[in-house]
Amino acid sequence: MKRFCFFAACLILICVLLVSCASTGNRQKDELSILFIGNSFTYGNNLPWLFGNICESCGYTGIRVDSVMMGSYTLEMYCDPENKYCRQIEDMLSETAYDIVILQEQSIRPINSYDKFHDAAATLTEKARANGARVLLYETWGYAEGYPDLKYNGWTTSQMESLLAEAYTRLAEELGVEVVYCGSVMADMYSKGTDIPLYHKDLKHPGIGGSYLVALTFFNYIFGEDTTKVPYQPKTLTDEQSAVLKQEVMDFFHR
Amino acid sequence: MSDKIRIRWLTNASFEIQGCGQVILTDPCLQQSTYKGIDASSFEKVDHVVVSHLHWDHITELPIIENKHHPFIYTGALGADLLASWLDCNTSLFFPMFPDQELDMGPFRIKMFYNRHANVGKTKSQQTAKCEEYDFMKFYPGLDKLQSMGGMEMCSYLITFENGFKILFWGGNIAQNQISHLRGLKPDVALMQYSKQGAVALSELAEAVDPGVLIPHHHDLKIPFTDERTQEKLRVLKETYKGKLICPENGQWLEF
Repeated sequence: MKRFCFFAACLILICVLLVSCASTGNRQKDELSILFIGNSFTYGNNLPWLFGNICESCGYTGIRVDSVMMGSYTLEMYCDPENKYCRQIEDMLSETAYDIVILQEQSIRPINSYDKFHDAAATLTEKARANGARVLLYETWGYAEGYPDLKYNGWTTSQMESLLAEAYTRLAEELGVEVVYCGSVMADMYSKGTDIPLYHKDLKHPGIGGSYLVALTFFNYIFGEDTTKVPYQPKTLTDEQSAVLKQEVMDFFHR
Repeated sequence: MSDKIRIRWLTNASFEIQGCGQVILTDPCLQQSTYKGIDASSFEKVDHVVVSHLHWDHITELPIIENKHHPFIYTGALGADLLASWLDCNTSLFFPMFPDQELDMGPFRIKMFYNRHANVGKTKSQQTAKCEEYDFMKFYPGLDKLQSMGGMEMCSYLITFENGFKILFWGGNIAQNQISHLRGLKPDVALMQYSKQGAVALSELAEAVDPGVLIPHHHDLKIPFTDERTQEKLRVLKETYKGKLICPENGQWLEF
């Protein structure tokens, strides 16, 4: 009799859960806390907020997205104990058990100051790991053609992105962390001569198309979801432009 | 949700805008202007704060509002870090805006236009030193350090609600490039600063923008709205501006 009651209770519980899930229409997704650390390449169009919108629209309602992002900052600055935002990061890490910490270096530093890039990323990785977090490196992109620094360095957009990808890959191997190749997918999209605003008018920072592409890339990388099924899209992009960007992530990373 | 857009001028460049379920404040400086009838802690809800620039007369009450409501804050990209640092708040709340950038916030879109400020030309030390003249600055520690950025970066914003209603929040020094850039924008309402250049210059710019209604602001910072000198300025504006003009009293709600 006891065994029957146990099985009956289990059956009822399963039915209740199934009915509950079906009636709400909400897929209950795991809770996850993510911290973005970066500069204007992260705060342009508020990438963490865009990413959060994508997650929410796909039913990931338990995602907490925090960020520390100051203009022109290098990762080294976030490691300086005298720096207010270094202390802010430490406070956040001590208060919240982040699952993922995303690190974005100043846009040219991985190429021209690799050692400083390495040392700062190593410091932050150590802090993140002590917090129990997995570390993702956010690879940024080459400046768009016409940006003065390209000419000064004798690079094309694609060459600059390749150098960045190389530096981020090397760092990931040395630290045992992962890279999300946002710059590579951006370069691929840019090479197709699209009219989508990947860059802001300054030819350096992300336009809304660029930020959306990066947010989709993170979403695909972290959750493995098909980005062509993402409902959220900024109204400042056309439906066609959003569809192209969603497809680009799948084509670039999964072809 | 009502389709109506409600706007009330608080004082100086501060407006409260309600639309599509959102409450937006512009340039919250409420206690250092001549009109002190609105307490910063009195707002029940503030979802967004739009900041044109970092001069004290545009942000003095922002810390109180940020602390109570944690709104999204829109400000120029150059000064965003300084402002975040002064507020000592999490930068997740910040939307640093680049010129001509437009963001989709869901219930509305917001686009930034880059302007010029009348204080361009004054040195950093001159602008910081100017703060020493004001006794009240002691209530806002660190605010003096933002003043030179206030003269350097000046933003105006076009807010387009999802029901199509457009509000231009404009401030700054009127220059030919502004007239060219904003010509034919045709917002439903333009909240435009009565600048030191006077009524004729403002009329010229406003006529180029061609709003449904022009509402001037920033004319009661040092002289009250009810003072005859302010009223005389507005009378001249009424005479020179050919479009529809509304000059509300402090705190008066307008519905569109």
